[in-house]
Amino acid sequence: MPDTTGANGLREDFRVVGKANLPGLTSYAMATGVAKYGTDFTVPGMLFAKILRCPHAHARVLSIDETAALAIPGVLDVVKWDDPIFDELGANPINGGNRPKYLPQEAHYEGQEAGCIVIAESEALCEEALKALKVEWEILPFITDIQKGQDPDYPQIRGPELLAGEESEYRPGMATSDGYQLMSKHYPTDPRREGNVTWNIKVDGDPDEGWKKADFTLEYDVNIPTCISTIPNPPASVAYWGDSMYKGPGQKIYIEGAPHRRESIMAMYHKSSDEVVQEGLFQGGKYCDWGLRISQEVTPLLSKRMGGRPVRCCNTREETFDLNRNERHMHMRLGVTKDGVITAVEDNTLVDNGAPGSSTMGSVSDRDWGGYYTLKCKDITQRFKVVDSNIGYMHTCAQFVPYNWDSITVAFDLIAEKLGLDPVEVARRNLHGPSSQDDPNPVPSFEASLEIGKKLMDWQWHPAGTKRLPDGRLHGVSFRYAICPRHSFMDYFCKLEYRDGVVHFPTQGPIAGWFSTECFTMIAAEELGLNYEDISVDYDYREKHSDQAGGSDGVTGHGWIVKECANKLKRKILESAAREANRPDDAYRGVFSFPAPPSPLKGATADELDIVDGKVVVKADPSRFVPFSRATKENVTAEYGGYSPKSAWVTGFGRILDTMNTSWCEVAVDDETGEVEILKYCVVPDVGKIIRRTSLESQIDQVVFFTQGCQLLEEFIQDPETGVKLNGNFLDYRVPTTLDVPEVTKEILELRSGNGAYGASGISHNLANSHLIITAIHNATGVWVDPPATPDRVLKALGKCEIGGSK
Amino acid sequence: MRPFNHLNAASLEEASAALREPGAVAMAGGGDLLGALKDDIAREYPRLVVNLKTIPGLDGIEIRDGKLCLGALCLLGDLSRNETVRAVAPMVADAAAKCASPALRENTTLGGNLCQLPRCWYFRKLLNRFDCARKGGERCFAMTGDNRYHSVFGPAVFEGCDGKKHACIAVNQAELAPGLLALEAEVVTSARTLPIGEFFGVGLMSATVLEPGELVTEVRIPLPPAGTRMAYKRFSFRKSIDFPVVNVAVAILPGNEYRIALGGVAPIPRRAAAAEALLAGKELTPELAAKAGEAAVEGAKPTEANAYKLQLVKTLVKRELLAL
Repeated sequence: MPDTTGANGLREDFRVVGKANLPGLTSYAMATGVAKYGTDFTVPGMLFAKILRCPHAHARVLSIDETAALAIPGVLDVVKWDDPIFDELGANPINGGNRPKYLPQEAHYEGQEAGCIVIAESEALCEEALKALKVEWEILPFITDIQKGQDPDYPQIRGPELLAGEESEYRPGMATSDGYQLMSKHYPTDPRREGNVTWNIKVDGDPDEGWKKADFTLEYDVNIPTCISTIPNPPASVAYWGDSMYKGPGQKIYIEGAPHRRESIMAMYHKSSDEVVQEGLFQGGKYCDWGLRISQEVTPLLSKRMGGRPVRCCNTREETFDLNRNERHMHMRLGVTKDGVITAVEDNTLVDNGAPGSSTMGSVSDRDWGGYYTLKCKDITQRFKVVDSNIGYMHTCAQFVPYNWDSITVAFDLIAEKLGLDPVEVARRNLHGPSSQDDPNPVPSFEASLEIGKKLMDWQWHPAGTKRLPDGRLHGVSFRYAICPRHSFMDYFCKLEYRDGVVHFPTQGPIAGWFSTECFTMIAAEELGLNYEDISVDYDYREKHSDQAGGSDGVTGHGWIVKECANKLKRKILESAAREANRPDDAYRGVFSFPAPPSPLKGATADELDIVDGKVVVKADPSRFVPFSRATKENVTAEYGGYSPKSAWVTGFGRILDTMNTSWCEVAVDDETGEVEILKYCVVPDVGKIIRRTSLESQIDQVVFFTQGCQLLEEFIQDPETGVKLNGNFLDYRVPTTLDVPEVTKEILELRSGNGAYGASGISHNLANSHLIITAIHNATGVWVDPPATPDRVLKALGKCEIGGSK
Repeated sequence: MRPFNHLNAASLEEASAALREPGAVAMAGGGDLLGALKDDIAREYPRLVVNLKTIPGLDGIEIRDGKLCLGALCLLGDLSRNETVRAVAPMVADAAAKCASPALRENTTLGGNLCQLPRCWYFRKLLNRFDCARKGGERCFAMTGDNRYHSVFGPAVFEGCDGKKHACIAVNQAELAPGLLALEAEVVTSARTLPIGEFFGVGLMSATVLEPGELVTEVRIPLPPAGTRMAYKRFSFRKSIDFPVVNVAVAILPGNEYRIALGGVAPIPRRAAAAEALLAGKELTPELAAKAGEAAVEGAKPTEANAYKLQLVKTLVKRELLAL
């Protein structure tokens, strides 16, 4: 589905879009330290705040004796959870999770903010004060092992106040215009809660019919551990109150460190736009994590309490270990024909529900657009058993969403193994075509990606455990496919202004490292006949345009809006230029009222004009032109808001297809040490159309790096006795270094079949995976290793531990 | 980080005197101490940090009296590049080159590497969340908890501050220890000279037998006889910025005298005596190397979670022997 509904969607001549190495607009600031992030802001005379964190996996504050803390010189206040000051706060409309009480009395995971906030003259004094508090905790039952947590006799970890509204969650999901139900936490027919377990059961088609068609049953497990979100910059803010010349003294909030969420601060503090000032727009990269943390929200409140003195509150690295991927155990049953075609899917998933308020993206609601719907098989049962836990908090979303692509990746490998077929061929037999699950021929995007991927990999699949490299290590390969996603469910906005001869693109950011503003600038320049550097990007926190699109998934949809906006502006500029060119001479005077020479455009209508190479020209005679900077003396503004064309990703959720990608992996496994080396990791996405190659390649590198880390090293580990996390730092929680993973081999296709700007689609979410490397390890060794495939696990799977490896 | 006093020691005597006071801790490169201070892992926060880097004359590298003498304040980066060290004790240089990260190797010292506290995640958990035996508490939490990185040779038993015997299964992961152990180095302190095999120990907030105020000043390696071959291998889950899960040093001296030292597997670095005895005087063969690997883990008592370390030791010992 190319971009046919908007302006120039089928454009062939690109001067700007797709170009590599156009400079990032804020790269210099970010690379040199000029850019300020939340943790960087300081204000003269500021105070410091730190929030008490629960040292237990689940506990309630019974009392806090702050006498000793307040006796420390420089410690000014201890604000407890039940302080009426918190009642002044309004709700945060965008926060990813519910907060029944702003600062909770009960903490649901180790490290959760609870109980009180201390305010002191220095951060060190805050730490002294926290240590001096006498906190009486009531330690409550906890679940950090969801296998044990599903026991109906296990004490219930969520009190009645948290479960009060649960019955209302049993309702149909959101119905799309295409007739699909999405994002239901519980269906009305789901079994009701038993202990700490709830259910979400979704049945598509007629599973009985599917099983009848099968020649054999394949049964296997896909286990995915918890991973954390590695936010580069811990959440932090500094805030104070100033005078408003309209509302009076002390009415204006100055806050830095909450970029992109000024509207949340406005709502929480009941302030209008002119009463909240925030100039800094840089934020550390986050992955689909749009919420603020308490340390970013509470500083104005604390400043107010301290008489308007600025207050700074920063999380530490250890305090910034929110979940990025919830633990999941998928027990799979597939009906398969002797030709390798899947006829029935049964996914029995046990999944961590996280702490209260966690996003359902980490538990159930991702499966509506998973890999199953890309199969010709329409008989699909997804039975999710959801266990409340005290493992951690999933804020909004995860890079791995949707999760269940990998049960298909593993399935293709197992079918290939059983039937002696190349898994690529198994995939081809199961993948439906572009129009529906009944469409027999895979989408061209898939075939093109396959062809290149095979060449790049020198693809030679072999049965598991049958090939050794010359150095003696076992050799394995794997393959997977996925849809290229695109966010067309969000409404976007763009404003462009022609002012004093220059096109301005005002934006509130945030500047989070995904370079979407640069992409939009390229699109605007392309459509306006200008160069990239001709457009002035004006960073202004008061502006409406926000890069909330995120990475390529959003850029391609949001870019479509920018494209339309640029064409709207272009039309208005040409209309204005024609209007001015055709004014009577006496209305168009030069210096000292001497008549100006006739405009070279005189006589032309707007339709007869174009903007080419920085000039407004008469199309029929390009020698007649005025420089773009003198196109018109009017200030011209264009706005465009709304939705981009609906993408296949959110129309059929896998049931229709346009742009796809393949990923490939080759590993060597040392079966004496359990060490896994990725020899090659190859990605061939059809992104439809490249907007900014540099950002796109970087995003691919990022998502693959993330993927490699979670399959080889990353794992969130808690003490079984206390539920306390043991590796809450980047020494013990290992993300790979550049020495641990190879450069990603990539070739990007542009078949123009996505319907974002110029036929573009995104690449990020569905390149993230949990089992491509794991599948290659299986191909090498013949055994399955649950991720992360650390040497101890590999050795255990190979039977080379005398007693056993880690759990 | 909480407030503390800081002293730039001008001499060993000044440093020793200051460190005899309760609540004083020594800092060389700070690679170990700064993390401990930031995470506030101890029962009591140090009142005084004594900077040893300001003491002159403790960073030399020279051959003296038939020994390679390495000052305690030698930077690991310098050790890794020094031509004398590379010629006399290449496995010590190799170990220094693999430690931590490039940036840390230019700050951290030989003495600090040998004296570092255990990396046990219970011991290191911030705010002294687990008040374990090594801090004066009753228990070793790793014994019943997640001990995948801990000792496969059982616990160390030591006397706690209550006068009772306590156990700890944290391992010593000092990168340079196995190499120095295999070369039978000696450690010179401000008070005595010790064979390195007697230097490591398990005590309250300590990984050595150093007394309060006692400081390492030098490490001396007897010059290996001509024809000595040696190799060092570390195995870590990550290739940089990671501590060794297992590290092995192997030396073969003329006359087929074998020395094998292991780190990361026990509360203190250990010689693989059974493997050395098995090999003594014999020409190496692949079969013998494999048997030596088996012998290197003789007497091991792994837990369910850390038995993989035995396989690593066996493989590393075998491979390093065969590589020589």
